[in-house]
Amino acid sequence: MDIPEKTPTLSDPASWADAHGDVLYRYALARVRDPAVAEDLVQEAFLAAFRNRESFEARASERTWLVAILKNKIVDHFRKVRRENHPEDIGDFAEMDDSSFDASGRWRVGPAPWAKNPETVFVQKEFWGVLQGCIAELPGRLADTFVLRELEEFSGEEVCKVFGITPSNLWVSLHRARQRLRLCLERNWFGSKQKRKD
Amino acid sequence: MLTCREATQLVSESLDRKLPWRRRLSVAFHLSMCRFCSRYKGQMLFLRGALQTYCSQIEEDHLDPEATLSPEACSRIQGLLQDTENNS
Repeated sequence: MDIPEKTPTLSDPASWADAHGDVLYRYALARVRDPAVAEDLVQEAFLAAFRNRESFEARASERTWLVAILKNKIVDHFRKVRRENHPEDIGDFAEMDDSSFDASGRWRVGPAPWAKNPETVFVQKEFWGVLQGCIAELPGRLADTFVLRELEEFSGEEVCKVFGITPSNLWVSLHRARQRLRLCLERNWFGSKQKRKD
Repeated sequence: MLTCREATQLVSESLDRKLPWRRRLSVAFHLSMCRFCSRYKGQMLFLRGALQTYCSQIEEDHLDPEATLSPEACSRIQGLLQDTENNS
């Protein structure tokens, strides 16, 4: 490396795609779940970075700076998706199946016990693939709100603003997303894979 | 008395906002008597922790090593950046 570590400066923009393209692409793909959209967002982020290269401050690494720009592009994408959808679609949130409970609101099949210290799975690479797969399986609108709240760590108010929904819509939507993820992990990890010990 | 359906909704909500104290109280009461719902809460907290850990690993290649920017996209972006550089 010919760049001294203490005073990071931007590298040649022609090398950005090679150096950071895959990481940015994976980041975008995990959030928008559509390869073509993810590629477009990465391209937009690189071009925006180039136009604003004066705003780069040596406080952050080049990659952190690029990821921050990509994050903005992802939020813009969600805003656009919202505009293109009919606002009345939001009503679907509340009407999704709720088959975990019987008519009186009691568990039909309660949550199964997971491992004693489930956090130990964090060191298993395969777990992250399963988690990502479970997020990718969430239906579009649930996934979008969930991604902004849990992966981008937006506050509830911010997510409501991006999607133009009410707080109670958001809470129901996040609850549904978490329920689905819980079931998905139970089915694909805690129920089976964990015992296989690979 | 809350039903399990209501209690789980409120457990999830408590991850997004501070519940009013009456609500908090009724959830705590329900959880103290319901094994499934308290297990549910533990799993929700695990999920939150897992997602935070997941987010802190964005720069690690193992997350999804097969997902890579296609060579076409890569050279297209390089070309665009070069053009912009030459025109600026």
